[in-house]
Amino acid sequence: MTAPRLTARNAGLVACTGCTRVWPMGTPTCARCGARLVSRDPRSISRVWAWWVAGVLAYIPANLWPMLQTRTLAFNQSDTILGGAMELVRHGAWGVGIIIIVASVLIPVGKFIAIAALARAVRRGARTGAETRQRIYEIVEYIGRWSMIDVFVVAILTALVQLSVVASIQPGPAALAFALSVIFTMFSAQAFDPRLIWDDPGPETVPPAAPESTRAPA
Amino acid sequence: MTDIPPVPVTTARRSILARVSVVWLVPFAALVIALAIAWQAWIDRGPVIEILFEDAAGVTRGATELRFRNVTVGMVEDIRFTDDLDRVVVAVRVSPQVAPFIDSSAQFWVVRPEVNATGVTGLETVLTGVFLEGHWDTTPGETVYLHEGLSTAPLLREGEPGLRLRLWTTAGVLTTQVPLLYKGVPVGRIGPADVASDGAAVVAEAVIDPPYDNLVTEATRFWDASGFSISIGSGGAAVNFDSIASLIVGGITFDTFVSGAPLARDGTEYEVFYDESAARASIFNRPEGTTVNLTAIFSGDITGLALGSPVELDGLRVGEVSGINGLIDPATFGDDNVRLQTVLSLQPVRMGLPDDVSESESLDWLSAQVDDGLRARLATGSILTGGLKVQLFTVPDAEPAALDFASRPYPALPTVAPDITDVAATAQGALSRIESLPIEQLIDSTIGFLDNASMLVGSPEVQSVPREVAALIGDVRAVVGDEAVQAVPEQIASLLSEIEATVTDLRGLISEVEAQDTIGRLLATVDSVAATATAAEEALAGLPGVIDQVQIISARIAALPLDQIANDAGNLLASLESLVDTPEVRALPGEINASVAELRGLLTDLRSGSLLDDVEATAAAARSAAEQIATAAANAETAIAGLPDLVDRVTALATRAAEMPLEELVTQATDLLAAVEAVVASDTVAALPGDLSAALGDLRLILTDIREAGVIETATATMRSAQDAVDQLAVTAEALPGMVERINGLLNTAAAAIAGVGETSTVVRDAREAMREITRAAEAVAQLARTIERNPNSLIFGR
Repeated sequence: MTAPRLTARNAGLVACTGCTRVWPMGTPTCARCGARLVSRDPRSISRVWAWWVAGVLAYIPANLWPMLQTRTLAFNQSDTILGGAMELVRHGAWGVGIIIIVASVLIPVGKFIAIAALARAVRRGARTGAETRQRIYEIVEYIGRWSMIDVFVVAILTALVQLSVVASIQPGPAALAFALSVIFTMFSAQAFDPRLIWDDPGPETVPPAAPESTRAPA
Repeated sequence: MTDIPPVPVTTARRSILARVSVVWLVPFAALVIALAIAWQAWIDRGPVIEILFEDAAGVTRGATELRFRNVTVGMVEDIRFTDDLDRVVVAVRVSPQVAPFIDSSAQFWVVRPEVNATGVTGLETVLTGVFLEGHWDTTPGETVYLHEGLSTAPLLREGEPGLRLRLWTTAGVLTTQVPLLYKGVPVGRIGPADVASDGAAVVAEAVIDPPYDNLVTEATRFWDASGFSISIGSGGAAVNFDSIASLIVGGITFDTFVSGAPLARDGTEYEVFYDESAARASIFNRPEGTTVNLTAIFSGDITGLALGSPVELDGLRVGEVSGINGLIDPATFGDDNVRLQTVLSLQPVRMGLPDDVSESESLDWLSAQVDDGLRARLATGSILTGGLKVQLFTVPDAEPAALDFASRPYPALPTVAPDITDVAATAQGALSRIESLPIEQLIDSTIGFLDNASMLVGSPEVQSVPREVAALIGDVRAVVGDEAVQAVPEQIASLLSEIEATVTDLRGLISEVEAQDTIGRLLATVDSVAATATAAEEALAGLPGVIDQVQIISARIAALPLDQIANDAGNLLASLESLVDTPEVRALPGEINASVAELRGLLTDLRSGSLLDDVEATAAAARSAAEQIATAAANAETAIAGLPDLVDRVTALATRAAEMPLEELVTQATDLLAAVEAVVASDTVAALPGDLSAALGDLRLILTDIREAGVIETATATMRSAQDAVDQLAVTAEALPGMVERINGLLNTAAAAIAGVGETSTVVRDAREAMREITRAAEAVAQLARTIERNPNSLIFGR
């Protein structure tokens, strides 16, 4: 089973990523929408890794620096993301705490892992099936837009709680870093060419014993 | 799938530039930024300095800030202990900008909320927690990494302008955190009060803020302004206090009473006086110079020695006792008895040393004195209070001793046995002397004397005196009781009746005179009276002349050599005195007895003699005299008529008297006095007492006779009769109650009888009324009887 799966590339076709029209291999531009036709983006993985590194780099200060600066009459408090969430949990606000932890820690970290795994699997092959990876990719794509929930919370609190001397909340430097991290991660996910999921890994790698799939890529 | 044309898939590696996306610039930029930020943070990280505190109350790691001029310049990074757990080390990361300034001038303290009487400070730290405050000067230096923290904020921060002073007092008026006022305005601060190292005073740092620091000169005096004073004088009562605040929290104020002194320098010491008057007074006191403290150890009872007791050198006060402590030192004294260690504060200036003598010079001088025998001892300061003083004096041949410089806390002065005048002992001595007086002997003598006196009084001679006196009185009584004397009143009565008769005759005579031409005579009499009055007028007219002459006489008399008369009178008196001093006069009392005897004889004569008959004759003579008075009255008229003539004669006499040579008269008076003196000195006068004695003897005889008369018996009989009469009355009075009872019984019977008759007829009513009257009468009688019984005299004297 050397070529178990038929791809467009194997079929000598190239699909337009703009309007999904299939052209014969070698067609430079899509005659329907004018998009440049490339069967595989040769620098896709490189861009993915570049954005991925930038996102991770931004994610570090986003967790170390304070996210919220709460100033009340009595005290000044600066909370990091994780610290603020723990504080909420300790005060009994389990629900909110868990949401923040999920949105600010689990999801970004999960995205980093997922993207890294996808990109790695393109070169090194993967034990998971291409369809699973395709689903993971879709989930990552889908969920990326919700990753800003933390930044939204900070923005809303900052706007609402400005009670002059008594209490005020201001965004900390982590908010900016976190937003950048989310953006970079989204770019990273965007840069990934999902068609690579279906390609065979390089000849030097052992082809995975992937389960049979009849689904064809778009 | 053969219809699919083969696609040339390029698998050859392209150049690195082609393979690497431009997007890689983004993470690279991010990394660069991160590194730049880290580098910047590393660069901005200042050094960590460590501050040692006693405790770190309220200091929190990562939260407590270090502020300089209220700007945060650091943050506490760590709090730990020193190796021996003695102190707390607070590690502070400071901003690199200020680090060079944190040199040895830096001061650090913890700002905490503080509430005291003068206000509230550090209020902001109530909410935000404490913070560290640092202060340093404005010149950079080498950063010092270990500092001692202050427990309280410094009064004057480093580099801050202000005058630092040091206040001390022994009056106990310095307390922590009192304001420093000038005329009621706060001009400075006083730091925490502390006890001086020698325990004798309370000291405190004070700071005067500019521009008030030029109010303080070296002559400035500080005093306690707290509390208030009340003065009552002619202007009314006045209550003075500086301000309400100082009334509550106290305050120290100052003033410069004397101008011209140089401004005070930093660190100048001032005494704080108890009140303004003391502060004022201190200006005029001589500076006392240095004070030398010595110890002196006394054994035995030092009751009465107190702080402030004087220390005297040859009677001059040169210091005072400034401390008394018990001392047990077996090593030095060989026993463990308690000794009293006193601290003597001496002022060398008062001992005659120069004003600027130093302490060591004074000690040298004292040491030399001690070698010469200067010793300390306790002596009585006041006998009344028993207070003691310390005397320094030179013992001539003292046992060798030296000032003990090894003694602590001050060199010890050798002492000798005390010279204490014990009042109690003195009193006891006085009592023992009184006790040793020969009181028993004295009492024996007194008793002997009294015995002799009683023997004298008990002698028969003395005892007989009252008896003789009684006899004399008895004689007198006899005379009075004599019938003849008793009869005297009767005779006087008859005399009076005769006088009455005479008067009657006289009246008849007068009426006769009246009958014979009374009116005419009266007229004549009036005429002659008028003439008499005229003559009297004339005579009176001559009176001024008489008076003038009398005045002349008086003048002459004034000019007379009366002194001589006085001398003569003196001589006369001297003669009289010598006369009185003669044995005859002395014998006079002896003769009085004889006189009394003679008086008795005289009285006897009176009784038996014809004296009473003579009285009758006298009465008769009186009668004739009365008759002669009548004629005398008739002659009076003629006598008055001769009055002018008399006045004329008096005038002439006075004239003559005026003309008389008074000197001669005085000479004659002198002669007369001399003659009198001679007379007095003559034997005749000397014999006078003898005659007096004879007279007294006669008197005595008379009294004897009087005694023999029965006057007393008669009086006794009379009294007895009166007694009988009274007794009779008493018997009568005793009979009265019985009678009243009977009358009562009679009345009761009558009442019963009448009650039986009935009450209808008017007769009965009348009878009852009568009965009531009788009852009332009976009651009156009973009352009378009771009164008489109670007081029989009332029968005689009436109610």
